[in-house]
Amino acid sequence: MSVFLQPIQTVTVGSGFPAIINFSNIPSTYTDLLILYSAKTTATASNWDSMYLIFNTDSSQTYNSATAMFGNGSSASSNRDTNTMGGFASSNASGGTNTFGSNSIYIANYAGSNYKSIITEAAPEINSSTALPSLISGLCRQTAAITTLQIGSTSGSGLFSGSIFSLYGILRQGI
Amino acid sequence: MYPIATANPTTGGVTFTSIPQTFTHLQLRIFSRSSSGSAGQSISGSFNSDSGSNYAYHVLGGDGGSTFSSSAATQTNVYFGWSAGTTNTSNAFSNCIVDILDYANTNKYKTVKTLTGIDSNGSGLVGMWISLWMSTAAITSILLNPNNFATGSTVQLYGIKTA
Repeated sequence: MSVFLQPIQTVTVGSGFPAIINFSNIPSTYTDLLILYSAKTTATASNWDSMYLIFNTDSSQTYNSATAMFGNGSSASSNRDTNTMGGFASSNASGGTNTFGSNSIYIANYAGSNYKSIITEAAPEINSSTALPSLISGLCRQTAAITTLQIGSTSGSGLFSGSIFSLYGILRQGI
Repeated sequence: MYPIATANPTTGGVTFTSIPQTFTHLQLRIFSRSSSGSAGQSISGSFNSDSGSNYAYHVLGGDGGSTFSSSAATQTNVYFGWSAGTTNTSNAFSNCIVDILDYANTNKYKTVKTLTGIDSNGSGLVGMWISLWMSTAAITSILLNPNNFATGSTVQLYGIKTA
């Protein structure tokens, strides 16, 4: 029945506040990947935390860059980062017990031999004037097919129980 | 991704009821024009008929000339992006793609993420709305845009499963 999004893997965070989640053995039979996640970290430094993405266990991040646009509730701005595939705003512990941010990461042509482009949408909403809706496009200047993905908190904080990360494949014609 | 329901309103709002609890996430795809009001008016709504001050939102947007951001806490509506209005070019509609993740989780407030835009051949809006419903109840019904969808608008509700 489902002809578009095909569920590949799901990680539901349990106890222990892990700092990172992993998707491994990602099949190369799709055209694009989509990650949807509802998550919160243990950080308390501000009303949101920042998440990052690692391709194929390359934690050096040397090949990555990202362009971001975000709004803080009163103004919008844009910036660029190098040597990271991150800055994805996410809810943290300051938002209260039940508040989890909603995010998506779209990875196009992940199994091809071109560089890998992503686009993310981040919604770390809380009942406050300070939250950070954001859009980020990123580029990984690596040509290898993506077979593993890791997502973690830039602050090194743990992930709360109940956070859920869903990986989907986008079908191509003929499958 | 599974179609749950489609609405083709000619006036008034749209309500989806008895939303099945068998998916992990929901997605709304809204093609919207309003029969009243100006261009770029927001699409309001509610979950589970809750009209209390239990919602909050932030907006990030651009209008072709500048960018902006706004927010409000303790609101009585959730928001799903922008709709075309009566002052937009005839036959122009907005698009809104709305993700509601973990909608049936009774330990979480519900966070709504919307990518939205409307272009009107000389003016336009593009941006992102994020909203929070401060309730741990599973979402079983969604009300959208009470009173003012115009003919040609469509609202589609999908369910998304996980592996």
